[in-house]
Amino acid sequence: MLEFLRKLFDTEGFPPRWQCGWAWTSELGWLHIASDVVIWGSYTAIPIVLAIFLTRRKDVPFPRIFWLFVAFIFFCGTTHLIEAIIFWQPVYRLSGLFKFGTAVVSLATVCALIPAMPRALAFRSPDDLEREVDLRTRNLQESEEHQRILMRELDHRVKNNITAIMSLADQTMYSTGELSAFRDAFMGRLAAMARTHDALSASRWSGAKLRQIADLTLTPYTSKNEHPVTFIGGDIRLTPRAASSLCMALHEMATNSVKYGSLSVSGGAISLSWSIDADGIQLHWIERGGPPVEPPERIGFGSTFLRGVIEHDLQGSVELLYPREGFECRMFIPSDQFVASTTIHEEDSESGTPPGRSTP
Amino acid sequence: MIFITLTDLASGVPSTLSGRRVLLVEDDYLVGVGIKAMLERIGCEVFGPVATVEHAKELIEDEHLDVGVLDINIVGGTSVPIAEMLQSRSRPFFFVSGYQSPADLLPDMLQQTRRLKKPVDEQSLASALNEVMA
Repeated sequence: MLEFLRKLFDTEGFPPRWQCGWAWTSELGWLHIASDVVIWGSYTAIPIVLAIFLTRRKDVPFPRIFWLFVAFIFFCGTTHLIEAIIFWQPVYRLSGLFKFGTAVVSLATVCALIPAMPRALAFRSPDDLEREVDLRTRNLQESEEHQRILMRELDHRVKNNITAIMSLADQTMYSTGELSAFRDAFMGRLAAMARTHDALSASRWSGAKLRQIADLTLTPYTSKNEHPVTFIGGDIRLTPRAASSLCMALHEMATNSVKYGSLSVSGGAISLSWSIDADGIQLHWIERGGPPVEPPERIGFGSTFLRGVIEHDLQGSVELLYPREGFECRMFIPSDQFVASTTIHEEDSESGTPPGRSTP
Repeated sequence: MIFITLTDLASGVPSTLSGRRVLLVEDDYLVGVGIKAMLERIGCEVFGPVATVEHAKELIEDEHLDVGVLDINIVGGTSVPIAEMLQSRSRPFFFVSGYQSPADLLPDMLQQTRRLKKPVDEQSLASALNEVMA
């Protein structure tokens, strides 16, 4: 071994390639020499460029395999240089050493390359990644836009609500004399608004069931169990707008009933029935068991308000009836104020109806 | 009458609002009656509130109206067709909206129209009315 290394550049016993055999022509010899030198030059330049690339880009996958490429190409190139030199200096030991080096490095490259294949195959192409980035960017933009719309809508609703509450205070103030009467009327109306808001918010503003709205509006005034309340009607789901308006309308009727109607005496009953046809919903509110009814001499704010929310907000109609045995109200809500059942979040909107209160 | 004086003193414009016939378009009843009460307190005669383009057009046809106060978003769309009808009759108007930037709801022609942000008060209503009718 030591002997081999000591004689690495020793050419004794080997003729230069020009003198090896007798068929060498100048053209054939220089074809070999020139090709070997060009191969060597290229095989040296390629690993240099690759090495510069690898030192600058730290994110290249499989860097160790690339460094093996660098070494393997460099060794390969050097063997070609030695092949050219051998035409004059037959350094076969040096040539053998470099070929051995090339063999080792190329074998190592193969060994490193094979297990890396599945991972390399799993790599996504830049085009693929580009598409993925595009898709995600689009999704992000859409959700930002959605959020912007929601914020705008929220802002709008808040301002509208503030305006409505200011107006409610204003209107209630004109229709009530004393401060305590104002307080009761105003707070009652505000509480009804808040309860509808809760129900609609729970449904993520997809709407609410008519029965649920009726129930949450009447419950505060009938909770003592001394007033039978009957709801008769199928499942109808209202738009948020219709739910709010109907809640305000029913609230007006309930408070009116507490003051003058069937809810003012023990045992007084209320029935609310509804039916649906192609045009819309017909609702019928009937009070029984209260004091004898006289038609009112003047139109109060309550009935104006009731008419306003149904006729103005929903483009519906209201008919107030005063038979002696009890106040009645017929309301019509046009069909564009319902929502399709699939758009309601059932799990949320069901919760407001306690069992046993309503008779279908 | 006291209100007119107060409002006009505050906004620094002479009273021109008394007896003005105002079209009020607002699809929320409570908001509408609130604005109506304010307009009445500054001396206007109010037609409305109406919630739909159809009702507003009827009023424009039938009544001799001086000015329009229009909520931008109303039942079934926007009040743009009402604005255009008023414009074609050379009647001044302004918008009232709860939206921070309602401009994107409006066509180019109405971008410069005066807009009031909700909630409105009597003073801003009065000065907007004076401004558009000047």
